[in-house]
Amino acid sequence: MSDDEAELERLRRLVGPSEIGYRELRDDVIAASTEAKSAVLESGRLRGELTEMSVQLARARQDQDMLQRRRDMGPVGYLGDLAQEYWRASLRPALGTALRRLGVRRTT
Amino acid sequence: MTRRYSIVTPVYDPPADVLNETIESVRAQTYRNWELVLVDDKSPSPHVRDVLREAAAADERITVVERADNGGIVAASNDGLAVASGDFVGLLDHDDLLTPEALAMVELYVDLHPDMDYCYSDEDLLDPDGNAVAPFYKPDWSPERLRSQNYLGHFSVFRSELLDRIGGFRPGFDGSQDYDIFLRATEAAREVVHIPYVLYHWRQLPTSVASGDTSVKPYAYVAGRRALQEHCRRVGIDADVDMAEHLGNYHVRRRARSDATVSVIIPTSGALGRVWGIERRFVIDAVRSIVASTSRDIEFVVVHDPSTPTATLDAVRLAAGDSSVVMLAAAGSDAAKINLGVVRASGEFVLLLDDAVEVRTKEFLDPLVALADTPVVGAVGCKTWFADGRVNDAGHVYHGSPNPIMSGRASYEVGPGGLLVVQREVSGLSSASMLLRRDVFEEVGGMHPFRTRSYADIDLSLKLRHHDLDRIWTAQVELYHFVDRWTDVDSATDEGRFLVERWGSQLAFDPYSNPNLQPGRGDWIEAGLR
Repeated sequence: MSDDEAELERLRRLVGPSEIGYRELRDDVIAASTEAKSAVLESGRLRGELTEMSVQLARARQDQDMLQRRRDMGPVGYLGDLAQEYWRASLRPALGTALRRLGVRRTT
Repeated sequence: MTRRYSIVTPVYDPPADVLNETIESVRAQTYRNWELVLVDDKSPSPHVRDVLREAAAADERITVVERADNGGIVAASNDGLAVASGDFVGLLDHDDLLTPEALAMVELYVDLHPDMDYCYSDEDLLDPDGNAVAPFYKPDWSPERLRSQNYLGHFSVFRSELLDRIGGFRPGFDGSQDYDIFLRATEAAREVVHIPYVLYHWRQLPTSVASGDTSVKPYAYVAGRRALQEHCRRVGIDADVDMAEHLGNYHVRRRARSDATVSVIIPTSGALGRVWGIERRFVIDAVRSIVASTSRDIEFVVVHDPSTPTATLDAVRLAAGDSSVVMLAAAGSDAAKINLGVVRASGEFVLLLDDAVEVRTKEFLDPLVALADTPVVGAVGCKTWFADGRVNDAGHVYHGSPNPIMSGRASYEVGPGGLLVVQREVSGLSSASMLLRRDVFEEVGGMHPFRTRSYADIDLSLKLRHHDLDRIWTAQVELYHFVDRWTDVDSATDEGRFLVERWGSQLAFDPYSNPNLQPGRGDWIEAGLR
């Protein structure tokens, strides 16, 4: 009996991993992939926070630029800037709405 | 003769200085033809009555109503509406402030939009030190978003005739009475207009919802859910309304027809990639994850490069299980493959899908089908994640230039104004996961066969916009989309130039963004100092 088992073991070594070995291997791969997924998600969280900080930095730079620009332009320039903003935020969209109502659309 | 504006303010026990500031913010209006109706809801503190009477004595445009008993905000507001005599009525809380130009700006917009029955403006918060913080730059009229959250808020102005028609505030909705009246007003309004200026400062007191502490008025959210459920019934949406994970937001869960048939169109080159440490043949795993995530009978139409190995195609058939699979060999761009796939599809709906995806949401097709099964809806898209959990795509914004919304942000982020958790209209969607009715796809002439996938997506989205068909993005469905298919529009290339020549300024105008946001970005960053 023990000779048979030894022979079986020898044959298994000759033909490669047994089905038990395959299951273990598969479980190892799944566990490793799960670990890798956790690590990738954690790195994504950090990268997401980095993106958020980059946006905040961009915002701060914009504010700084705007302050500098307003200081340099003086009161008349500032009024011009406000008029431009009024055009951008109110008049142009209203004009767009009016044109769309009139059926003026650019599609081709 | 100029229009008269009534500002209605129910008052219940605010501090004297706060109430005075609120009244002064109305008196400081640059537009002069207004009346302020202050309704004291039997405040227990004697200073309230004193402040109100002094204000009425100081300015004849101020009317004070003193209630005999405490009836709650709905009763007090309705008392105010009964007294209001203006052509339009604006709502102002007893601790908030209007900016000096608020009424002048509304008057300007009424001139620009003669049919306007209701308008709302942008708003910000006043912190305890009196600083204006956290501006909320809102989209233009976005009904699907209103069904996800009360984004309209302040400063809201109604045409008086509209209020007469809908009957003012309804008892039983205390805490969400605004949400209820906004829903009813917008159902009946001829035109809803957004004024893209901050006209209202919302004060953060410890007891106000503006403090951000959602436990302050939990009953308000229950009432809000009921208001929304009733709205759905009135407008014929067959749905259940749930509170979302982030209080103040709601999920309208529409019921999808069980007999709706869906064809999943997957253009593929049979590419390999490594995700989470394991190499995968994308198209095989995409099909496998779809089959595991829906109980619907679906049809796969896989349009593959002629060089795709037979073993891959066999594995796709195996992964599809009992679902029918149509295999088409075709060379060309993804958009051309999708066109071919839709021609061969037999489903009532077509789901355009990138091959490098994995579905995260169980029964993911139901919310998409239910939304797309509405005549005004052209296409529906969903939230996609990169493998590392960051947001890949939350719709497109065409403000300044086309960009994916909030790409690269951490997936747990809510986004400005809840952008990443609410269901909303968007200008454009990605065909990495886009569901349309097949007749809509055919009506707009399918996709232009751009080699650049994101150009084809932009073009298809704008064609839907041209046909007045909404593009809806939902956070109720999530997919991993492992690759970044976005390409900035570059007019130095032939395809970029063609796209710009075809759509011109429509690539830069986005009603669901805001002029106060920095053009050319998808991350909702403000355009410089306020």
